[in-house]
Amino acid sequence: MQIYKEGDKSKAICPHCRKLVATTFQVRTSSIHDGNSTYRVPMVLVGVCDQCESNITVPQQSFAAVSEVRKKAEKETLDFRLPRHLLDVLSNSIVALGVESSPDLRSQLLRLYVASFFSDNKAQMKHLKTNLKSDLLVGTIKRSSRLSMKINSQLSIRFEEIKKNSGLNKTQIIDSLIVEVNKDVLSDNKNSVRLTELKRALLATG
Amino acid sequence: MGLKDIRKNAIECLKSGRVQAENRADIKDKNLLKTGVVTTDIVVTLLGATRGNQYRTVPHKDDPTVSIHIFEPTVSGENWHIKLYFLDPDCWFISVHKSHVVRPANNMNRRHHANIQRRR
Repeated sequence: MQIYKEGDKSKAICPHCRKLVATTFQVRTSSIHDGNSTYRVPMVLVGVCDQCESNITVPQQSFAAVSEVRKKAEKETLDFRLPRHLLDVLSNSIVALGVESSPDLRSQLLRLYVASFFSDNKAQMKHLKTNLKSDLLVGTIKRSSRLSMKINSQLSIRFEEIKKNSGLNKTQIIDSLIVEVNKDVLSDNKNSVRLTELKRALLATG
Repeated sequence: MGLKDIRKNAIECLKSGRVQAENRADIKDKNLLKTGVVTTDIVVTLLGATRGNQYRTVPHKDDPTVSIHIFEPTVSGENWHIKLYFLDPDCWFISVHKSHVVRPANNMNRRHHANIQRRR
């Protein structure tokens, strides 16, 4: 792959000078424009017009850096109202996995569970519904606690597909996933394979 | 140079990292390649899927000696719009995005309808 270095020369048609100009690659914190969006990308290699000093091109090697900033900007926040005892299930599961609990890790644990469910797996979709009959969700439940979960665009699509194929709403899905966490981590029939995977993933995040 | 040569050059540039994307605030064109939404492999597939009647050229408005190549393939039922030009040795991508413009029937459909007409 062609890799440009800072100071290398190229050429481009400058939209400000409105002609073919010489450019120099420079590392700058740049505003990268795309349609109606602008991403501020820190310290990225861009092509700068030698005449007007504007950043007019982005070389292929910098696309990955732009992509990282875009992904961060596109993260969506999902808010849920939950009964306190379900939040306690998450916190205690994290502690049981040997990691110090925090709000970030609670949402990370849920993200791992969202990622492990596939909307085209009918058995898993049925399982999500069955979980709603758990003792944890029976009786009068006061949803007095809040949980915020940031998810990237890929996980957001997965979440929407699960919603569509399971016929559950977003709160029911999260309730069901927490029941699943409880089964895997806190119940008597622990899922030892799952526990090892979760512990590794949470340690890497925490 | 026709579609085949232009496409070959563009694919060579994509595979060898000789691609640059325009960065301008005055045009609202989307470049999904620049922002990493689509990969170079996808763009190669889109260029490969472009037929003769889905390709045209226009002169660059700031430098009419430079030709802008427009590829408008339909892949998996979705219309795409890719705009690029060459300044040797690199290839500049102005836009890469899905298009919501309803296009006339493609070649295959025309051929299909022509065959039906002929049979009648």
